[in-house]
Amino acid sequence: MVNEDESVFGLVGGNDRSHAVFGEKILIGSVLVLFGWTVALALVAVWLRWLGHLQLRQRRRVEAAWRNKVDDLVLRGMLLPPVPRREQPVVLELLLHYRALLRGPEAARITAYLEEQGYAQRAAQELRARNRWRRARAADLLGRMRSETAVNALVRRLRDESEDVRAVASRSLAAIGHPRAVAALAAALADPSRWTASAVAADLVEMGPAAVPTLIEIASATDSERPGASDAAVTAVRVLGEIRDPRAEPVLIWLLGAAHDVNMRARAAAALSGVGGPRTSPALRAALRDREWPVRAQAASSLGALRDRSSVRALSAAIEDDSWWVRRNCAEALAKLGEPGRSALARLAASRDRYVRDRCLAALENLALEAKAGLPTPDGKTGMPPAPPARPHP
Amino acid sequence: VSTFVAVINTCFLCYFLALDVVYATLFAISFYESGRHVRRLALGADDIVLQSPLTPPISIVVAALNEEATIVASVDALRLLEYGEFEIVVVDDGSTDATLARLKGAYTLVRSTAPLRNQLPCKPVHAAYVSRRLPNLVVISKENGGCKADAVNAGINAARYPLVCVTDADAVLDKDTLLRIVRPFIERPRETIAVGGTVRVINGCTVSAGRVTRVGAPRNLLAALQVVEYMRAFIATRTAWSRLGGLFLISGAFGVFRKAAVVEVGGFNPKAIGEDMELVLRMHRHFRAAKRPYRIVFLPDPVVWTEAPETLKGLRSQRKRWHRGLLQCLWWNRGMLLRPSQGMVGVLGLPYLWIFEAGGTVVEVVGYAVITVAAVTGALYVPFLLLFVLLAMAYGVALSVSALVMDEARSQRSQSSWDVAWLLLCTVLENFGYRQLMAVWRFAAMVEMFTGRKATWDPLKRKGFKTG
Repeated sequence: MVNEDESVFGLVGGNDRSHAVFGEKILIGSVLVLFGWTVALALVAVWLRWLGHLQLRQRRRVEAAWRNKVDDLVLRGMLLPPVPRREQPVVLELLLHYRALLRGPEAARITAYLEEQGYAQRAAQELRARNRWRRARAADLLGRMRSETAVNALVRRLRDESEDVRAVASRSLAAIGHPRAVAALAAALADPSRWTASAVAADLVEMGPAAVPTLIEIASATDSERPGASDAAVTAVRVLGEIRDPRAEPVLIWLLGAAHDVNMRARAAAALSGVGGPRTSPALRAALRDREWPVRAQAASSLGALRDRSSVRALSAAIEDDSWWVRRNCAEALAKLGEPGRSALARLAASRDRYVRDRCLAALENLALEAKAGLPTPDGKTGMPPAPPARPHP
Repeated sequence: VSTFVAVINTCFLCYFLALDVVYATLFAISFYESGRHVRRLALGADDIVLQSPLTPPISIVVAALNEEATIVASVDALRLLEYGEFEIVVVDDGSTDATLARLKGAYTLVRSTAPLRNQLPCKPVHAAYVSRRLPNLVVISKENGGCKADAVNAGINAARYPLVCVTDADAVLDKDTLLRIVRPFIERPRETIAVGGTVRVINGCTVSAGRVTRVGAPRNLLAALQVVEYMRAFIATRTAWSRLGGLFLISGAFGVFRKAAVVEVGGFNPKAIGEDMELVLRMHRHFRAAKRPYRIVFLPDPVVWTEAPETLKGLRSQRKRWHRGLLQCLWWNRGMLLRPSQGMVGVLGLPYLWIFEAGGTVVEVVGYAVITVAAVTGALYVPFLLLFVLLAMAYGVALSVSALVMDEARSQRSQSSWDVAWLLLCTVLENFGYRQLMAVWRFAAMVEMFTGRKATWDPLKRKGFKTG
C-alpha cells in the first residue's frame, strides 16, 4: 500500500497531504500550459506555411496582371495606370527588377516614374523611422531605385547609429554613383565599425577611378611618424590597390618608404603590385631591405606579380633572408619572372643553405607542375585560363 | 524516512525547475538573436563579403580517415563554394582504404617537396601533394595519429592563409557558408579568433553537384530523432551562449579559426577526446590569462551538413565519445569553474555543463534507480510520478517544437509539409526510449572513463549521399 505522505515524487513528502494535492494541481496545470504552447506553435507552423503559399500565389497573380503594363512603361514610355495600394509592393519589386537589369533611357524612365509616384519620397521618409530594419530596408530600396533625390538623405544615414543601416546606405550611394557621394563614402572608411568600412571599401572599388583623388587624400593624410596608421588610411590604400589607377603610384611609393606603421608599408607594397608604373619596381626592390619582414615579404610578392625581369638580381639576393615568408615569396616571385627567374632558381637550388635550396626546389617543382597541367607559364606558352592569383599574405 | 524522501523530492524538483528556466532563457535569447541575424542576411551581407577587398582568404582543412565513399564528393562540394579566395587542405590521416587513391585519381595529384612549417605538433607527414587540376588543392598524407586533432594540426601547418576552416570529410557546406561565417572576422578583425556555424543532418536530403538541393527529413527513425536533437542544440541554445559571451564549443564538424590564435595556444590537443571543445576552452583560458580582448562567436546561419549514424552501434560509439570528451574537458578546465576572471564561460558556461550536461546524466540515472527502489519498497506514489514524467516530456516536446518552428520560420531551406509533420512526431517519439538510451550511454561513458578504458577515434561508416 502506498503511503502518499512519504512517497517519492510526492512534491514535499511531508505530513501534510494537501501539499501533495497542491503539487499535483501545479503539475497538471504546467502540463496543460505546455501542451497548449506546443499545439499553438504547431498551428503557427501550419499558418506560416499556408501564409507563405498564399503570398506566393498572390504575388504571381499580381505580377502576371501588371507585367505587360510595366513593359509598356519601360519600353514605350506609356503611362502606368494607378496601382492599388495592396499591389504596390509587388509592382515596385517588378520595376526594381527591371531597373537592375537595364541601362540607358529605359532605366531612367523607371527611376523617374518611381520618383513621380512618390515611391522614392516615401522611402526617404522611412529613412527616419525609429526601427533600424525599416531604415535599412528604405536605404536599400533607394539604392535600387537609383534615385539621386535621396543622395543627401543617404549620406546622412552614413552616420546612423546602426552599422547595418550605415552599410546599406553606403551600398545604395555607390549604386546611385553620384559624385557628391564619393567624399562621404571615403570619409566613412573611418567608421568605427569595420563591417561598415568593409562595405564602404567594396563600394569604393565599384565606383572605381571617380573615388581615386579622395582616396589618395585619405591615404596621404597618414602621419609617417605615428606608430599606428589609421584603419581608414590602410583601407584606402587597399582600395587603391584594387582600383589599379596609376594616379595612386606616387602616394603609395611614399607610404612604402616613409610610413611608420608596418602594416601600412606592407599594404602599400601590396597595392603597388596592382597599380604598377615606372617607379614602382625600384621602390619595391628597395623595400626588400626594409627592417620589418612583412614589408620585405610583401615587396617580394609584388615584384613577382609585376613580372619585371630586372628584379631577378634583387630577389636572388633577398632569398637568403632570415624570414621564412620572405624566402618563400622570393622563390615564388622568381618563378614568375620567366627564363631569367628560372635560371636564378636553378642556380640557387644548389645553395648550401638548406632553406634556400628547399624553397627554390619547391618553386621549380611548381613551375614544372604548371607546365604539365597546361597552366600558363611566365613565358605565356598556353592559352588556358590562368590559375587565380594568390592574395599576398605576409 | 520522510525527511530523506522530502530532500530527494525537493532536490529533483529544484533541479528540474532550474533546468527548465535555463533552457527557456537560452531559447528566448536565441530567438531574438537569430531574428537579428536573418534580417541582416536579407540586407545583402553576402554581397558585401564577396566584393570587399577586406575579406580575408581562408584555408579549409579537411581531416579524412577511411573516407573513400565521400571524399571526392566532399572536395567537389568545397571547390564550388562561393568565396573570393580560399584553398583546400585535405589531410589523409593514414587511411587504410582508398581515400588517397581516390583523390589522386580524381584530381591528378603529384607529389610536392615544398617544405612545411611545423608550427603545431603532429605525427610525421609522409608526403604532400598538389593537384594539376585544382591550383588551390593540397593533400597531406601522414602517419595515423589516432585522433582527429593530430590530422587537423598537420592541415593547419600546411595552411597558408590567416583563417583556417576546420571541417569533416563527410561534411557538405552550403555554397554561401564561408561568406556568412567570415562576417565576425571582418566586423572585429583584431578580436575575433573563432566562429562556429550550425551543423545539420544530411540524411534524407538530396545532394546534387556537391550541394544540398532538397532538404528532407530522414525516413530512418534514429536519424530523424537526431535531426530534432541537433536543431534543439544548435538553434535553441548555442546562439544564446554566443550572445552571452560564454560559448564553450565550436563543433569539430565546422568552425573557422584565426590561425595565429590556434598556433599561439598550441593547436588541437591530440590527447583530448573532444578536441573541439578542449581547444575552445583553452583559447578562453589563454586569452583571459593574457588579458587580451578576444571573441568566440556562433552564427546560426552558416550551415554545414553531416551524416548522422543510422545504427544503434554507430550512434552509441559517437555519443559515448562525445560524453567522454565533455567530461575530460570539464576536468581539465576545472580551474576555470566559477572564476569571475574567466568571464561568462567560467561563471555561466562551465557551471551549466557541470550541472546540466555532465550532472544531468547522473541525476537521470539516479532518478531511475530511486524510482525502482521506491517501487520495490512501496514508497512510490504512482499518480504523481506519472504527472511528473508527463510534465518533463511536455517540456521537452515544447522546446523541440519551438526550435522546429523557429527553424521553419527563419530558415530559407523549406522542406515538405510531410517532413515537418514527421519531425513534429519525432519530438514526441524521442521521449520513448531515445532519451533514456542517451542517458544510459552517457552514464556508461562516464563509468568507462573512471575505469580508465581508452577512447579511440573511430569514424562512422559512411553511406554516402542521396544524389539528385
